[in-house]
Amino acid sequence: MNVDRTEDVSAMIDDELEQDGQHLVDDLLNTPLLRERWRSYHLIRDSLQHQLPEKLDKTLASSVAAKIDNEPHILAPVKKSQPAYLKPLAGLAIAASVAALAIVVLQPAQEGSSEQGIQVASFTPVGTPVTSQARQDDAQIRQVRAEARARLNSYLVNYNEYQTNSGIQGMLPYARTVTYENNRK
Amino acid sequence: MGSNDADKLLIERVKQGDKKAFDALVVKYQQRVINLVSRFVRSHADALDVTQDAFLKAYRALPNFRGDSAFYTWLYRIAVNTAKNYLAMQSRRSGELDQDIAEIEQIEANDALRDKATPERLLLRDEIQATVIAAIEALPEDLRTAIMLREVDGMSYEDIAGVMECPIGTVRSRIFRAREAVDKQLKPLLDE
Repeated sequence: MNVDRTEDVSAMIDDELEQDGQHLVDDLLNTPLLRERWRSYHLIRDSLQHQLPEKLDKTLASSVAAKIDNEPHILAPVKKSQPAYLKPLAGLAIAASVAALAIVVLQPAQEGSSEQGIQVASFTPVGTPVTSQARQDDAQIRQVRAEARARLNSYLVNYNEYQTNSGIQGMLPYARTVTYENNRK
Repeated sequence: MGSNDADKLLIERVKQGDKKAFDALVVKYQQRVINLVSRFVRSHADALDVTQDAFLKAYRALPNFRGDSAFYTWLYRIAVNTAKNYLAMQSRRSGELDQDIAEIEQIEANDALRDKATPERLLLRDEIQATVIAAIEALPEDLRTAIMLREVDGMSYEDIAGVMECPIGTVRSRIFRAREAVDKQLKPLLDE
């Protein structure tokens, strides 16, 4: 090992390194001789500054290293600071996203209701009797209701079966199971 | 902290997942931390356990270390808290153990055993200090002055250069040579 590198470690200990320390850290961590000097120089410092404990354990650092080997690696996320002027823009972007989402979600429902209104208006051609249009609307509504009733009945039956099989009592055993007849008049 | 601050460089490496960098920090601060913990915890074996625990906690908490204070200031607080927690736990435990004297005696016997069991692991402070002081006294005056101004008075290379009326590079070289001379005398003790 180059003597200069050992001298660099000495300067590094004093925080007096003139050149970039990254390469020296690489060498320090991977060269046993430099690590040995790192330990020795600090021991000399602690001794001269009366920082030594009464008894020194040679194996302390290796014991800590063994424990840390069982720990997961630290990978701290690198924080990327954004300029202050971007913060209001970020808030604006979030607000715009929420607004866009609201438009996408709510518009079909509104369109659906407005279409019905438009259909009612447009399905009334000039000269067509009002009663004929009313019959068409009635038929549509009856069909939608029938589908909903079928789904509801199916749900109630399934729920009732599940409740019986799982031994759950609840209120339904004491109440009539409600079904809805499709062909009710 | 400067960009070439040793602690800062090592902490950056630890945060990138390099465990050896943390080992270098442990080597650097271990004696100071044991010394600190020993003020709270009398048993040497227990002080070692608390010190190890403090370093482990520091490792786990390192991602939260922002560098607002010096690393040792931060580590100092962790070590003191760990020692205090240990004492609180011990006092609770000893309250429970009062009911069982035999168990206490067994624990003390084990502690004593731990302290005596591995003398080859232990170095005595007095022996190291005597060796270091003898090595310093044997140095040429320029080397001795340089290292004492640095280590005892905590002066920067620039200030030492002013006092010794020599270039900073010379100060750097003198301090290095002084350390090498002392290391040569310490080596037999450390390698035993």
